[in-house]
Amino acid sequence: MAKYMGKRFLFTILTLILVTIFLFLLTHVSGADPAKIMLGTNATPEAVEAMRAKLGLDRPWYVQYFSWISDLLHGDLGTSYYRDEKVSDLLVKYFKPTLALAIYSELIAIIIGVPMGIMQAKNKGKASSVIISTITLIGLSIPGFLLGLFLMFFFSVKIKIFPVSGYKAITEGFGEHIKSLVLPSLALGLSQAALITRTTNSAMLEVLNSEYIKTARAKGVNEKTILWKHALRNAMIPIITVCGQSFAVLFGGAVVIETIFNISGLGTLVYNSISNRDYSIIQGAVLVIALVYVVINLLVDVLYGIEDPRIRVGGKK
Amino acid sequence: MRKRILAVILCAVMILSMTACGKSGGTSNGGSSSYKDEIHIAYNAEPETFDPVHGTAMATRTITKNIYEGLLEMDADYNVKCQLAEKYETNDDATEYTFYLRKGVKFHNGKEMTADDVVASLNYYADFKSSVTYFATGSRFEKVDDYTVKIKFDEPSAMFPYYLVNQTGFAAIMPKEVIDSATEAGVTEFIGTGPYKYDSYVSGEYFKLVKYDDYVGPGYECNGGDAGDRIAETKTVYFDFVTDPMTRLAGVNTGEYDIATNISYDNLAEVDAYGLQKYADWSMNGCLFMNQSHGIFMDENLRKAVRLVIDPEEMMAAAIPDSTFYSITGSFAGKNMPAWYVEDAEQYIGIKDVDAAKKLVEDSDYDGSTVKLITTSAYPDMVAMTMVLQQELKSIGLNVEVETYDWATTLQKLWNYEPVNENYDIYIMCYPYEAAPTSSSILTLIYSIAYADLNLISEPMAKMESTTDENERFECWKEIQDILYKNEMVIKFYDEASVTISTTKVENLNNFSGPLCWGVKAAE
Repeated sequence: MAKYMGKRFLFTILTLILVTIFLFLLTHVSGADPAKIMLGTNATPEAVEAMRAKLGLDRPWYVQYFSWISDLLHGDLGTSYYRDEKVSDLLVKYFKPTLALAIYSELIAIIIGVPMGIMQAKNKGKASSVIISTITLIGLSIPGFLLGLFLMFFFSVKIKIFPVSGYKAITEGFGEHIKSLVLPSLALGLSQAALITRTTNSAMLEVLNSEYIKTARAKGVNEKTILWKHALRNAMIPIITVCGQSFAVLFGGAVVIETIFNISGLGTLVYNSISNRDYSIIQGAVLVIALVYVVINLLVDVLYGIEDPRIRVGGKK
Repeated sequence: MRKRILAVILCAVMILSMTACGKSGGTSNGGSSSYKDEIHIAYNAEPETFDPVHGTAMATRTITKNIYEGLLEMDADYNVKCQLAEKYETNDDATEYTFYLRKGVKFHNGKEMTADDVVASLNYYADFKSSVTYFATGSRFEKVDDYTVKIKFDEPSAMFPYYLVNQTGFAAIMPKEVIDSATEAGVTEFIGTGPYKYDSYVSGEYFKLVKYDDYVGPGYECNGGDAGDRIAETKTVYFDFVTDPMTRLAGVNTGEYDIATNISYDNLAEVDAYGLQKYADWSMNGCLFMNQSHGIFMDENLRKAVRLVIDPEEMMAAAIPDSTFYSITGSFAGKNMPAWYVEDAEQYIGIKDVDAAKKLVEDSDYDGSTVKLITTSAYPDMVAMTMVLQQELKSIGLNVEVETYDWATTLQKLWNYEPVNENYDIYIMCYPYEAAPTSSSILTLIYSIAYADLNLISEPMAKMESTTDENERFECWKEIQDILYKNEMVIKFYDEASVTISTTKVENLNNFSGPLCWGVKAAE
């Protein structure tokens, strides 16, 4: 297991290094100049050049990269070009709403998706299975932003039980906090629930058709025990995978929902920074998102090992 | 049993979340007044800085205009009026200005405003402006006595009072110690003399202002511009940063916000359906720039062909469905700026003579090469106008392609600061009104992105700066426009208003390049 974990960890580090290089190249070849955007349309060429020098943008990209990496290794992500705030402070601030939104959305997705998938597999061929399949298809087809607008129109504008926009931290009261995140979490979580339902269903169907389940049934084992103890446990690997992936997607891809519900999260920060070409924030934020992705993948790998002994035994060979 | 426990927990969470709700919004005077103590403005953009001098964004201006005042300000008709200055004088050749300050004006920190503060503030402004534009290079403000300051110029500068009332990056007066402690990024404390004082700012969420009880105005009524007595009617004003226009609209409809800015033109039908109040905020001039450094528009006749064929009404109708929010005008300062409106300029636009334009193309050396129209997805109305323009130019035989970029890339394509720019041929964009037409972005852009020969207008420009006679100045301004059109340097064809909305309970809301917080109040 230790060797298995070690390999996964090294792979994680390598991934992050590649992400930083790719990111740096991508932001710097995009061409737009933050100095011009900062100074506006009346700026003189001399003022733009002076600003570029001040921001260190007049140096070759690889010099800027190594300078950034060096600062990063000293725990310094730099300062925003525009806001005169440390990137690390901004990331901490914008990370919290996104984390809360991702957790609640994932909870909604798992609470709805896993039981629905099991029910669909259990009732294969019956009307309930067809209904779940149809709901799943609808869930996968409706874009999150459209669902968000629909939820906002119905629950905020028409019956007025949830606010239209804004995020309330948990320190402002749990009720306010939950209330501010119900609609965006539903908008994000429902489509992920559909995905988890599908994966759970197909994983369960595969297991339910296997020989050892047939043997258990022949031995007269209770159907509930077969479903929850034998089948679900053996179907867990793809379910864990899709849950991990969906959490990562929710974390990095909530920008539209954050915009619609006016939540100042990481997605919004990245989007605005891309618009302004605030490289220091883009680099810091994408690094954090990449870190979340690889950590989740690492956790998923660990869960594989716990869930399926063959994986960790394989690691010892 | 477990199901029951789960159901009870879920119900408890739902009830908790339903009950603990609602934005606090107190009542004036402990409930005796029928107006709210607090109003919320859903504002479309969060400024990168709240330093009124450094901030080039309209968002900085709109928010900080409530905190700061200048020596001079503009009224609703774009006339320059005294605000913190009691009066000002200039010598005959407009090379020296003396400003006499109002006495007894206190900053939000309780300190009285004196010449030291004004000199520090205006030199801070001049330093920053001269590093970005060609404003006031080398000239410094000096203290004469505690309530008098002056500035001298080497060249006549009759338009100087107008430069002091710039829309964005304005000459705000702040305490000297605030200027002294400013960092490279700008001031770190927001202390002015205006009707509201800074309370708090939460990045990504809101900027909160509270009424300044010791505010003293200049003693004349504000007519809807920046100048005059700014009487605050509401104790607390929040600028809530809400980037999505649909969310701003829905928020005003539910009463979560009292006012919302920059509503999409496409949502005007919903605004009417919800019965909300809507306001036109006139603040933009729109132009068509032709690249004269490279390509077919180096030929003056082809530039003329474009002017002859374009149909501003058709272009604007595609961009803004409600004609209340645009005005077709060839004057470089539209009818909303009566002091600078030039009626004669209207003759140059809206000609729609396809045959004449076609003939000019046929008689030219045009070889069928691609004409690049560049536009930005950041402004959907510009994209719509550009699409119509593409069809109009095709109708006279030009081979036209549209390239759409995000704002940052568009800037990069347009401003390459090289002698030649091969990135584009035509670009449509609107720019904020400025009190001084000579400091308008349009004139700068004619040179910096269209590469037109500004020497052609240098004589009347210099004359405008050297005469203090208003009529003579206006004649110079007319002459400048004539030259710009006759040499086909640029086509100014519209003014545009953004859409501000409010609930029906909001009263006295004025817009002057953004909503003005003073005067506005909202009934309970």
